[in-house]
Amino acid sequence: MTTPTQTEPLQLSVSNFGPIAKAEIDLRPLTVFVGPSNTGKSYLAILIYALHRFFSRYVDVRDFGFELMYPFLSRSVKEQQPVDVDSMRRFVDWLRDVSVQVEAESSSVQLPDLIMSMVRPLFAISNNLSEVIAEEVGRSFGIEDTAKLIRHGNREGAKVTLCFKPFVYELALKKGKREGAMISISEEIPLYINPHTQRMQAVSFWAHEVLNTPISEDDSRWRQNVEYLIGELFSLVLSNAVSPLSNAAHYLPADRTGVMHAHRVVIASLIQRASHAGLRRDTPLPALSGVLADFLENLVGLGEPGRQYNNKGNLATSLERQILKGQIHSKSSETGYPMFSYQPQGWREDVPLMNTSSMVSELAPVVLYLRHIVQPGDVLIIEEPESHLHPKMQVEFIRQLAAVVQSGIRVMLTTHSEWVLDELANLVHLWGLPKTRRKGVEGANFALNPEEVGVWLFEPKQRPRGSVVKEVPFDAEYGGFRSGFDEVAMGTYNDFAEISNRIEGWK
Amino acid sequence: MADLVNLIKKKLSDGCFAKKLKKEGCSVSLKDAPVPSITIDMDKRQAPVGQNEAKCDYIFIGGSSNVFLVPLELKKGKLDASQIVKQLQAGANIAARIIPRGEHVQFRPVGVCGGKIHPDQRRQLLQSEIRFNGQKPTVELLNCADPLIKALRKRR
Repeated sequence: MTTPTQTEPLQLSVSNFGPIAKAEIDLRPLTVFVGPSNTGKSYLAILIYALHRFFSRYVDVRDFGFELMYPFLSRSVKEQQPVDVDSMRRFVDWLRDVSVQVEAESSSVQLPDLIMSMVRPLFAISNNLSEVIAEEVGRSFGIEDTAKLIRHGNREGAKVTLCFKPFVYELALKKGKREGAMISISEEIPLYINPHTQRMQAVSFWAHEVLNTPISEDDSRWRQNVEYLIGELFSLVLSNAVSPLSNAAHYLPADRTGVMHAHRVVIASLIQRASHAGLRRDTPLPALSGVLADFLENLVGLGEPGRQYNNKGNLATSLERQILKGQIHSKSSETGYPMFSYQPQGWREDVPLMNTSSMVSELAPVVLYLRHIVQPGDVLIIEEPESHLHPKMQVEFIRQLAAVVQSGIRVMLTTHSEWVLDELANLVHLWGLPKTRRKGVEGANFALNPEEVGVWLFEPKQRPRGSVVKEVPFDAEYGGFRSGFDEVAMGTYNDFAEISNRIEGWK
Repeated sequence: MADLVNLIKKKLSDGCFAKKLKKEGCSVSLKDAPVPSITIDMDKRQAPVGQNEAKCDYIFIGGSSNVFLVPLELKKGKLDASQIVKQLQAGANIAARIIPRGEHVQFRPVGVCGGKIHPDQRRQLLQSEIRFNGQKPTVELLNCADPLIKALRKRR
């Protein structure tokens, strides 16, 4: 039995991408982007969303990756590593043992040598992925030519490097071409699986098939089942390696309040214009960024009959109770299109969402996503959660988001709010106080482990012209995260002091 | 007026002066500060302060035609308005003993901090008064490592 190990956090390096000159970040359960406007916070968030979209689909070999993988798979099982029944039987036994013996959900276990040598060659297919990844990145941004994402005035091109140790994947966007490659794959690299993920079911299924397929003179069916098993194992190894990118991401764009009010009009307009496309040359195809299109698609999907609540409904209810003081309802109309409404506490009737306060419209999608869409392990990306919220509500909202993180859902925020960062700092600071002494402290139930929180500051630089992204750790002596907001606070303070001193004649 | 700085300098022990302003990881630069000048380090044994008397970190006196009197309180961490006000007022009281009666100086109390400025602390500081010879200006703030001149010149 191999000793279980913890997976290292995924690191992402980006250079010359949009307004970003250089960024090196790792993805934590709660990741926060802060900094002046136009420094690339949303660019990086959308890029991460696109990578989630790609990898969460790609690791599902049956859905997406198998066609790409098959030639490599076949060669690996047939030519490179001739396998026999006994060795596969031993592997299936091993597989059953690790499922029982490895208990911790976050633990991974190294595959046996023979299996590793069959799975490793499959990584070669990643050299063919650059077009597919670049397509998803372009779709998420709503642009056709990904060269437009290269930082202005830069000749080298943009580079995105994913380091999911021990693998490194590099994607280069250059004018006229995309290049991508999985590098640092060698025979020595150990491969791990997490036997507690949902994907293990598919592995177990094919392992069972391999064991129970009768072998006659023609063993092609047995070999095919071994190929499927190795394919699923590759999927499991990759899913483990690229975690958390192998989980789904959900993006709530900054203009969600407007979308909540106007989604019917937007969709009707898109459909109407799309029906003219190709007939009238002056009618361009309607286009939206992928993040907005996906947001709309999810909203419309909420009208599907029989949609079930997921197990995070209690988080949504808590948001409704603590902040909205009422419930958000999603009802399916006769046409199957969803109708959203708000029922204030103590009221018998619902109010259409478009007639509610901007705070209700702002938070309604968060409630709906938590109730119907987001699953543990997924990442919920929220642009500027402070929009339309009074500072007191911003503070409460951050506590609710801390509960979301505690429940196993990952959260990524972009923010311009000092209140958001201040409350986050308090919750991280609270972690240092033993639980027995937290009673009576504001937000006592929402303490956040500092290691699970990453705050990244986007700072504009003149040379190279663009922003540089660096982590700002929690600093108890400073009193929070060094976000640059204090320079503004000091500036307005000194402005006031100057005016006062001039009025009084002291200056 | 240039004589005023020298006059005060002569009244004090050489051992109380500081060439650099730095306390507990927070500093202030004297680049482009008015000259001639002296800076009294209130933690020095020779400083003109009683053993248990409240005090600020430094007192800067400098300038020729216009002489500035600047008590400074430095703090690496977050801003504590009540503490800063108390110590700057103590600095003003000490300065009143060493500046000859009848001499006019521009009084500019300055707080220096490297940490957060919470809104309530900001409000508290704006409402506070540090008094010196009938002047009661509002405290100006600097970030650690800022030059002192930033607080003395008119802004913009």
